[in-house]
Amino acid sequence: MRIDTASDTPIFHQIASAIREAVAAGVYRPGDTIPSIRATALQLLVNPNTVARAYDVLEREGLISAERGVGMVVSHRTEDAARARTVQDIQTGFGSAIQAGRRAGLDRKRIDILYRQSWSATPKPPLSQEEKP
Amino acid sequence: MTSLAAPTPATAASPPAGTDAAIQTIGLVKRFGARTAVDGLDLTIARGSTYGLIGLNGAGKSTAIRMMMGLLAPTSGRILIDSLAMSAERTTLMGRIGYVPDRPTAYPWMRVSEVIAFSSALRPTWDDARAASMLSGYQLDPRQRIRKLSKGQGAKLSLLLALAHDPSILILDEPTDGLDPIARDDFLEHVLSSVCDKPRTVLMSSHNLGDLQRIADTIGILDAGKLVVQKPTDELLATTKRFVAVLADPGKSPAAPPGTICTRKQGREWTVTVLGSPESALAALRAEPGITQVELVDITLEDIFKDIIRGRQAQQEILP
Amino acid sequence: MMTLLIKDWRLQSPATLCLGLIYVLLPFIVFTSHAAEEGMQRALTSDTLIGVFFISAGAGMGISLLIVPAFGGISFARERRDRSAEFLASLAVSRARVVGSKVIVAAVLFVLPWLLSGVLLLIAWAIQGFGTEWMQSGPRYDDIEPFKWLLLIQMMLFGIAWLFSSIVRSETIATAGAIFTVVLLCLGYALYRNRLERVVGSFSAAEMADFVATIGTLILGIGGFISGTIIALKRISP
Repeated sequence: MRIDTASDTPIFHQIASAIREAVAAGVYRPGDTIPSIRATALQLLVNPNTVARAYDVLEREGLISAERGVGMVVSHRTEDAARARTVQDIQTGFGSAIQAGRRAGLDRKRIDILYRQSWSATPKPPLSQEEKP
Repeated sequence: MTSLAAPTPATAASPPAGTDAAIQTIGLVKRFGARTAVDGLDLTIARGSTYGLIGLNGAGKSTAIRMMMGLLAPTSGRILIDSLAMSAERTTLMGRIGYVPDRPTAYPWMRVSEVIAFSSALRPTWDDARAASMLSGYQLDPRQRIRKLSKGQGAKLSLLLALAHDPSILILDEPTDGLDPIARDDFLEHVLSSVCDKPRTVLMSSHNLGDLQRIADTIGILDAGKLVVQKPTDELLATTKRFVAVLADPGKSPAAPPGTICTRKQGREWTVTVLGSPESALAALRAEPGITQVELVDITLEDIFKDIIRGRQAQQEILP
Repeated sequence: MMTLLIKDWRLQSPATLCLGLIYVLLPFIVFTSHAAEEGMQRALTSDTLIGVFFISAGAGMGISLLIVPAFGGISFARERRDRSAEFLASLAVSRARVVGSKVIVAAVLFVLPWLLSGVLLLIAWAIQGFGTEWMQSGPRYDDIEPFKWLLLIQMMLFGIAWLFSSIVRSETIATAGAIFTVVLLCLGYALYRNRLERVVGSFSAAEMADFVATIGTLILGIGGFISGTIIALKRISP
């Protein structure tokens, strides 16, 4: 997990997205404990209140739930939910890219080519599940 | 570069939610001869918040912090900590505050263990077990003389001495100044760890705005002894936006949208930073006939700080 | 309080060690120079040894005139220079305790040269044997008068150095400033008194001047100490 302070996106948002992605990618499976607020705050060097806020968002989404004496646990059957959120994030990202292209006067064909180029240029993450059915 | 409107004045900045202030300064002024270092500072730091104080060198950060620590007498104005006046209750308040100065101030001729014993004897709430665990956690050699400590070790010793009495307020004056990146991360990790242990109010001044963007939940910007911005970090980042517009005529500068703090022109590219309501600024830019295209670009705390300061400097050049 | 006292004692330790070393070495130096002149055989008599300890006690007092102002000069200025004054102020200790500890240590340090000289004199008397004529007759005023002046000048040096130390950042400036001030005052007074005796030729005027000088020195010494203490108590910025 890493935080990008050069980005406009609030840090709690970035943390929430990162955990969603990690759940979607299977880094954390249902029943797994995600790192504590303290561990995440110290690893990312961010304010623990910010981490708490991110976990709060995820808890309200139903992705994680607090379990006494254990910490934050990934809920069962949330992989799909997490993936749905990730899909949403991807759509938002594509949306802004397409908008930038339109503003620059590029047509759809050119943007398609750019997308394919980016696809082949981006290395696969080691825990990628995209080839699974 | 020209600036057209001053950023929101400090008095208009919304006080943090729940007016329970841990630290409050009211009309704080400090003059050194003819020079005014702190000029009517009204600062409010909410209990439990992590406040990042930023400003150029000489903007008055250290002077303000030293007055809050009761190390310097204000020329005028008041300082309230936990609603108690610093001028009257200094000794009581010192028991509740941990202070990390920009470089170690403990006796250079003492050994680490000696200064710990010294502080322990003079601090009623000192926790020996806590100090011992911090000593090993911070990897400090108790037999080392303080004058021989490296910068990183010195900063960690200052932090230990500031935290072992379990204060509710932690004040750090450019604590990571001059530390290498590893020592800085190490130091910040220990600061955050202490905040995780127990809710504390933290006031930290720094030139490393990337660190403050991650750690501080509220940001105060000082310029020439005055507080020019005081806002929650997320709000500051959400309401300060930078637009890059393409001009139809590079010779003509269009009217700046409301809330502009800084503009810059490079050929046909016109960069505008606005503080306040980015939506109305965007609408104003779109409505501007001289602008063919507007794009929103990401902006960091460092960019915001620089634009605010540059905008103010440019403004001062215009006004006599 | 003990912690503060130990700290203030250790703060002064370079000057204290210096003084201690001088008192340990002085008898040897005096004896060696005497032996070099007279030869070892003649130097090793009890009379010479008594003389050596007497001279050492006196010389120690003389040298202490340079170290006593250093005790005063170090007291506040060194903490300000090291910025440890800031550290001390950030602890929950009242200013009165901080200054009080320094006053106690200063008082002990002030009598230190007298104690050490006293020890040397005791050694001299022990060699001579107690109950001799000098001991029985008791000291006369003429014997004591130089000591009176020594004490007064020491007090003046210490008081002024203490006052300077509560104002400036540098112990060297505080110490040197006090010595310089006192040397100027003494020189001025010596010239003035000389003129009174020679030009005016009035012995009673000179006696009067001595009395005024005694009082003036006392006021300067005690006044410097008191005002330095008040400044140190009142000042907020360490």
